[in-house]
Amino acid sequence: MIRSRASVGLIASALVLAACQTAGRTVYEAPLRQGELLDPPAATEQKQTAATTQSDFGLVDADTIAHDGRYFRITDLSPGERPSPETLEAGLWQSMDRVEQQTRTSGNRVDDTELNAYLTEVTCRVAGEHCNDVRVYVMRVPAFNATMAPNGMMQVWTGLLLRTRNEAQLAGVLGHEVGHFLRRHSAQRMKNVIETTNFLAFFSAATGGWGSIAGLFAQGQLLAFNRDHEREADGYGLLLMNRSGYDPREAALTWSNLIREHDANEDKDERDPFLSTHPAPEERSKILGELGAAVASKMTTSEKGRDRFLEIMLPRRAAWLRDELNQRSFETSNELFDILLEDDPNPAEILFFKGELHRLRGEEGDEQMAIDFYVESLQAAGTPPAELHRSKGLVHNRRGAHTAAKESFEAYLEASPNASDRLIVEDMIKRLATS
Amino acid sequence: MATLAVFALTACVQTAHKTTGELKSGSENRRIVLMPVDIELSVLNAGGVNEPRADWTNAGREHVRTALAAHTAAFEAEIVVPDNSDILDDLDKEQLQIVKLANAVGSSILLHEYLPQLKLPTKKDQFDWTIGPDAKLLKEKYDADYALFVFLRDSYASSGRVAVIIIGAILGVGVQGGIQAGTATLVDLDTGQVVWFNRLARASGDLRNGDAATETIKLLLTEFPT
Repeated sequence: MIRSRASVGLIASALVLAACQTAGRTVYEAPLRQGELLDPPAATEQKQTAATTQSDFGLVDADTIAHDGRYFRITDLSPGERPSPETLEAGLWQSMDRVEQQTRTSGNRVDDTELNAYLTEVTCRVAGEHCNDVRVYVMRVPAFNATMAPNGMMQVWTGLLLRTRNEAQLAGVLGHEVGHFLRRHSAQRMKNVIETTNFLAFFSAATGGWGSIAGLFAQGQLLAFNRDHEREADGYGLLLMNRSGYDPREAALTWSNLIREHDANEDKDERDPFLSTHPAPEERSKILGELGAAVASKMTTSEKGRDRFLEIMLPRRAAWLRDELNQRSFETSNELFDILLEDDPNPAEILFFKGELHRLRGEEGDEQMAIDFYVESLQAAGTPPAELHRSKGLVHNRRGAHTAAKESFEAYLEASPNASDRLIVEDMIKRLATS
Repeated sequence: MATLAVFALTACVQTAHKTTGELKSGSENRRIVLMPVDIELSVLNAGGVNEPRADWTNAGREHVRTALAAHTAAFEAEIVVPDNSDILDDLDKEQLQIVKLANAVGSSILLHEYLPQLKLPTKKDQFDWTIGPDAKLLKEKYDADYALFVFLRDSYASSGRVAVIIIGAILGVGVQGGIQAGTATLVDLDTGQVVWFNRLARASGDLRNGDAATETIKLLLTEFPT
């Protein structure tokens, strides 16, 4: 490595060196080979496995899953391992350590002890002996996602917690992310990006006008590389669910629900960046469904952990539902609410937010729809938030139904005597009484 | 990436900004804490991707710390180097927010004081940047009157990048090589006022090397108040 101010004498050697650029740096070698999927377990392997032919499907042994001639296996990567400092991977870890420092004090980090403890517990159950290598941060972002950094910093977004319906589904996603970590996907990806862009720089320089076409090709190649990693991580998710005793059939349900949401979007953007770096949800749902069922058939016991999961999530959910609505993506939000309503223990809350959706959208007929949902919420099982009465009062007031508005505002103050906006609401009641 | 672009654009301006040429008088009022240096050394690959190097960064941080201590030793001020001087882990949440704010203010200064087209109309010719009175949190933590924040990025063209630069030069296309860029911000911990600021941006220097790091720090701390 030398400075850009190369002397003339260096020119020749620089060109020679460039030719073997990709072989120049040692990449941290995880016990698995980099950049490619595993071979079938060797026939001579001590642990006797079932047949290792192309026809293998589902669980081959406790540590190996097979699909379409590919094998995914949990490695013997030693827990607590850090890459040695001269490697590409160590550089990535160090950069991410700095990002993690920022994340720790980030404004949208959810600093809720009980919620964080719960997520750490589920992560540890899934990650097993790698528990201490992964650190979970809950971020208040209203979208379905979780991320894994090369150094083990995992972010879980509240939009994901809103959408998963039980602990097994959550474990499926966490297992997927842990799979990214165990397989060193970030390092592989960085290596791939460097090699591709290096190639491109020389190719463009050598061919001039062909550079842009090569660029398009390279872009597609990088995205395909990402999608392969996602498929591999999905396989790991299932393996880890099997190991930790979660029902692997739940993983596919997460995706089929997301497909419903996506389809509900009237002006869906076909260039959704998530879909270019990830396989199509349809594919993931189908493969995870088939594989999940195959894995489940070999498990003696498996659990969904629904009660435990909802006990933690339900008391925290109102803020996340509000964030969902604040995105003003009403069709998808409506579909999400309908999905939640199918098996929700607190339908009153969801129905209230359906009412809010119509109140906020404010199109033709929405006011009546809002009132209808508020009424339905009050009659449904569970408890609606106290602000239901305030919202109902606002809609009545907007429509000129002064008596109904006044009654709703009074009901609000009765349900929430210490409301921070009490003075404003009292003032509105006074005005309505005299009008 | 954007920050580095600004560095590159401002490469021709060389003056430090300051509100004072002198530190407060009285030796008991002249304690400066050297905040953990935010530093990263990287390889600039042929295709333009910066690849961080942990081993170089570790060496660079060590050299910069030594150079800072040596350079500031000549000042008529007491220099405080926190025990845990690489990481910010022993700061509490509020103190960390102050560090983040100081970094944010530093990048704003870089953006708006050095680029004429981004000059803020409300600032006129005043240099009155501040991180606010909560700077006191750091004063209490380190028992210091000033805090010095240093940010450094140093990249080195790989041999492949050099080859691309040369091919580019033959074809008449300019290709960026490695650059060294940094800022230094001195904050009065009583008021939060940024009393001195400087930055450097150039295509030379080498923080992997102790002597070269000394030269970098000398340049970065030009016109430092004494």
